[in-house]
Amino acid sequence: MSVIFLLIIIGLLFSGCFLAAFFWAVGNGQYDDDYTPSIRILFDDKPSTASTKDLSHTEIETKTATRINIVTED
Amino acid sequence: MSNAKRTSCVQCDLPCREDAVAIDGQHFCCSGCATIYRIINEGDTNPAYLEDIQLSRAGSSDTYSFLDDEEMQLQLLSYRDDNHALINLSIPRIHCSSCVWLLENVYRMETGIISSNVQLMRRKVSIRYNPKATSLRRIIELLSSLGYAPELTPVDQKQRTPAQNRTLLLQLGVAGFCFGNMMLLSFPEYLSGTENVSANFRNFFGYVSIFLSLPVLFFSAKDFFRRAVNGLRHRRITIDVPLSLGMIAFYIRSLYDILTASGMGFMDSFAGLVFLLLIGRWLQERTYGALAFERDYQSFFPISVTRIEQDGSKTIPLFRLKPGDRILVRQNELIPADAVLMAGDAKIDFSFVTGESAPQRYEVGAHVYAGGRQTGTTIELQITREVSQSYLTQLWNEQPFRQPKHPLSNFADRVSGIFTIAILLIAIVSALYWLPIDVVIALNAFSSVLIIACPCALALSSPFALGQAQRLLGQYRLFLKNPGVVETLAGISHIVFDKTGTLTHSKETKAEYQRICGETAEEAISLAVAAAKLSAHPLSRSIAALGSSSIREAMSFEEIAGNGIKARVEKRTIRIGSAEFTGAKTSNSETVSYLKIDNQIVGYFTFRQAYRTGMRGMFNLLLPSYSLSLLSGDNAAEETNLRNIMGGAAALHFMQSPKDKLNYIGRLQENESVLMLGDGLNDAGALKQSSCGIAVAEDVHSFVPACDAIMNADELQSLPKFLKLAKHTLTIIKMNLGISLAYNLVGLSFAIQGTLSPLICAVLMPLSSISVIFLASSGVHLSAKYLGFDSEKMQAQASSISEPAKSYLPTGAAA
Repeated sequence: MSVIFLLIIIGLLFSGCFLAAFFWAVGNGQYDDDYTPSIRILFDDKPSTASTKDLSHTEIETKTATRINIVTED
Repeated sequence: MSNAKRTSCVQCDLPCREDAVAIDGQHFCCSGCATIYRIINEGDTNPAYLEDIQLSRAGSSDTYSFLDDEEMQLQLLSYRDDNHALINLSIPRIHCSSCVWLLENVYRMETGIISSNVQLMRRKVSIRYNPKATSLRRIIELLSSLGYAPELTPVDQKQRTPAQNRTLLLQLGVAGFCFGNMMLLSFPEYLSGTENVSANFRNFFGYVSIFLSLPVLFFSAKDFFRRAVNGLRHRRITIDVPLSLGMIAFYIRSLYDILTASGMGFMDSFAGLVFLLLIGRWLQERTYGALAFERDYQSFFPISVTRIEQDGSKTIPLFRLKPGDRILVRQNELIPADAVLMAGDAKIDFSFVTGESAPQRYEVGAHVYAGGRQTGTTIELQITREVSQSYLTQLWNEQPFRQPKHPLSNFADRVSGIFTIAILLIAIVSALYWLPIDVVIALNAFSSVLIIACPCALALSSPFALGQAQRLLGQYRLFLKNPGVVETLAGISHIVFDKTGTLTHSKETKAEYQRICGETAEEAISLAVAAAKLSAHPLSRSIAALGSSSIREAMSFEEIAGNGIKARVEKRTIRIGSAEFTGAKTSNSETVSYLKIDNQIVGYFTFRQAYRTGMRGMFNLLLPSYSLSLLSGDNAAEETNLRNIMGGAAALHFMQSPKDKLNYIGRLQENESVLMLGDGLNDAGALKQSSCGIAVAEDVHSFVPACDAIMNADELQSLPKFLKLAKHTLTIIKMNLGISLAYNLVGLSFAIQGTLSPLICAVLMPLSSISVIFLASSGVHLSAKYLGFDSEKMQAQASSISEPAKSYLPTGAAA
């Protein structure tokens, strides 16, 4: 029965990963708007030609996200 | 004409409003729907169509040329570097999923745009673009030509930052995670019955619980401690004080028990408590993100003006306007600063600013004040004072605007003062009782009392009851800034009304016909209605409302802006308009529209203010319970009518300046709690000064001055019902206090004997919390039903008013 020590520790680590995923999702802005994504799933995929502009999407997002945080914490 | 306006969008079936898009005789509610319809109809599944859209840009017009100004851009943009810029725009026109689709595809219509993101509930779009490839001006022109002209205001409204909301969510997540795990770890102890859990396991579970409780204490619960300390520093005991006291007692006692192996500790109840309290806190922060409750005059004034320069006129940002500049103000535009009239036909409507209902005429050379709206044709003005120094904006230097309105202490806070003292007394007394007998039991009793008396239930009943009330009122289109406003409404004793625009329709009037000669009144009215039906001018609509059964049709129609309309009906020429337009001789300065049939002036229409429906009934219901006042910026012409419906005891005051209104409310507040209902800038001071200020608006997304709640003007007649619901909600909160005290007594009976075990605590606390939550929510819901709130009917109505039905539900605020 002493294996329960190990099991509980592993269980906590495993669920801790989910907690970390939650942190990431909140930081990624997924909880800022919970209604519009439900509409967006019905849209067609964007044609690939359009998205290869100067920077990739994610690079712009992190840049602007940091900037917004700085601006709004005044 | 009124029939045509009730059509439904061909694409999405929502009703079309006045600004519907019409293509080839088909009506769409927005250009988003129109575009999707064409794409589907032309069988084009690969929408390269969007790239081919030849939009008629307002290219030749320089309406947006002020956006080329660098400083203007800095004020509007959220982010800017050499290659990327980000702008957040508020577009009230966004209302359906087609709007979202179209606006998120603008990157295909303009090469410099990288991407865009719409928040439907907040009616905002965030556009990322490359400033080297396109400019802010071109983007805004594109949006405008699509029918989505943005509302441009440089001033940031004071909303909660996204960072603050995210922190609350994270705290909630951590508390829930730790609570769930700790609960599971406590089960062996609770379920072991007569056998004891082996010491090894028990210690292990204890230490893991301590480990899990650390983030709860230091991260999730930190705001409670912070607020308690802040409150005590200002000598106020809020609900956070007994809560913090209880939490500390929980923690220290549990640490002691676990480390000395004398018990399981109460960690799981502690985490559960924090978890539930954070849910309550999340509820308290709910607001309506699409509405702005904090606007000042800067949001009212236009963002740009047309200045006359040597080589023509140019649109410049408002902040560049200086005394001595000459500007043009066109029909329906606002006068941005105190000025002198240089040229043009000035008929200025000050109803939003001073409350005077009739537009004023001005001669060349006269002074005109900022904030008025020009109803005639283009005039030329010379600015005399800076925008921020005008007569109107001086109001914002008054005291109430300098500091945030401090909320009246709410019920839970008032109770917590007595509560804390009582609990401390009981704890000390029971400790002293046990001290001579056994020190350990004394300490046990002391900490147990503090633990079990932690007012979790009390702290939860307010957010849930008030949150439920806020939601219900939102469905009836009274949008509260936060749930706390419900409590303020429950304590109101005196109600003050504004007249123009609040009790009366702001644009609609009642037309009355006076015959002079010629055709009979019925005949004349019938002909006039046939012509007036085709005009969108408010006065024409009032005339058209006189004859709903008219079957006459006009053969030709012409509208001459600012002067009148001309039409041919059954071979007769009908002219309706001002005295100059029709050639009538008059010395009257009132708003009168003359009716001319075939070159003979047969009569005229006068326009009276139309009171909103249900005003008499509303006052009848309010009279028994409230003192009433009226503060109007208009003259006393309506005094008898108002006296009639408001009763003899009401205080009626006319010709009130914005400052007069503010002072009047200040005087009232020495003895009473005042509710103010107003709509315009002239009420801004009063709304700020009052205990609760409700802005009445025909379009809740349009500008309203800073207030605690925004009410759709059609619902004004339901005010008595709203106030009753607020009162009932407060009663329910008080009843819940009784219930939570009952739980506390049961728990205390164990605590003072020193026999409080973690199991009892773990059962009692969640039980009390959940029963209070349930009673609060369902109590308010039942009370609403009893008062006549029909939520299903309102839901159905909501989805038929071109709005996503969810917009009547408050959400957590975020940018």
